[in-house]
Amino acid sequence: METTNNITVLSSFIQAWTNEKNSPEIFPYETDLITEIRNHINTQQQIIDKNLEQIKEEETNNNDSQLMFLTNIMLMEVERLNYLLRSYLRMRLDKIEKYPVYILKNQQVRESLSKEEQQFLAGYFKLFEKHMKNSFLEKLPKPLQKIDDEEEGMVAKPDVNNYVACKINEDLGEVQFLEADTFNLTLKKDDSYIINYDHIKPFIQSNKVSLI
Amino acid sequence: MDKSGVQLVKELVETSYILPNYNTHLIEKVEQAVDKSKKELDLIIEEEDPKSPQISSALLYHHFAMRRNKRYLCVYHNERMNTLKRLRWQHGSTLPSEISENCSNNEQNFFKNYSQLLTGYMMNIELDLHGYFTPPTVNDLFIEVRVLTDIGDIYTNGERDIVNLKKGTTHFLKRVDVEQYIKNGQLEHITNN
Repeated sequence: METTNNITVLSSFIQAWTNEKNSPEIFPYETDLITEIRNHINTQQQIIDKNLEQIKEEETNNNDSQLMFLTNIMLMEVERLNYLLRSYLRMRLDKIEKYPVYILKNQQVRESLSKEEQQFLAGYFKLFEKHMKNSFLEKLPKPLQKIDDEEEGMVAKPDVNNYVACKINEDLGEVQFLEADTFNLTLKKDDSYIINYDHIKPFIQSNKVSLI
Repeated sequence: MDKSGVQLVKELVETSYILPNYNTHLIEKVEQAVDKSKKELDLIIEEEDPKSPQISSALLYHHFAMRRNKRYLCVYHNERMNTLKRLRWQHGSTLPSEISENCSNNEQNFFKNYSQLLTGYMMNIELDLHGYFTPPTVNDLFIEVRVLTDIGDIYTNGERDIVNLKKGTTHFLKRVDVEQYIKNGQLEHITNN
């Protein structure tokens, strides 16, 4: 049914947005979700515009206030979606700018970006490198001229050791984690944890655990 | 020991300006310090036995001194670059002249090219990513505004009503109707704080 489908799309999108917000890493680009959300925004906006036209033409007050009320609610929804959409895309651009070398060297991550994001990444890194080279790198002795010298720690990587809040989506039984010493946790459905991101990373990718 | 590197970074930390003047002088001093370390390094390698503990310590000293100076330069340029990027998002594609005065030519080029890169990306995805920087709240749909300069009549409520925006008056209106005037500075958004 249309309504249930919309609810699923919306909650999946909110989850995708939450993931980007709370994780240091960049997730695979949600092509289908984004397309659906954008289509939905456009459809709603068209209805809103049509309603506003209708309200303007009609002179009677009674139907008006009900339609106006409905239109205002739709307007609020569209505003919220517009915010989420732009926030999602901006957060990803931010991460691309923070870790360009890391992403370029990591084929799996790079290929999970959208085509436009990959273009942006290539353009951004080129720009960044040229700027540093022209400003001072060229004037340094040859061995120091690298911009992506991993030995020197010049390549920024997402810090996966931060703690995140998460929710367990299905019964996972007893899971072993490696830290200072190994420890086990029984992960049951609907449990919440604040845990080291690195530990639950694989579960997030398979959607068995969600960030909150 | 040359302290130019430290001074360079300190300048960024201690400044009250958004972007202090590009310190070409200090940068050159740091580059010279690196050059000097390199020359001393080369000299030592040529003439001395690198296996003796005194010599290898000296080598390490110069090695780390060079890399430390490189880091100072990286940090300085990186921080300024981040400021420029932030300004692009806040201010749009032209830098205020007080700030571009303080930038090197390279930095001005960077800003221009970064701006183009962003615009290109937004055109590619056919979406303007500016605006909607904060989550909309219930209070966002209708807001109270005060008129700062005479605007005259505007349509509101889907062009059903007309509101006269005269200087000094306050109104309770739909945000989307009046947002452009707030941006121009002709209307003032009244909040309770």
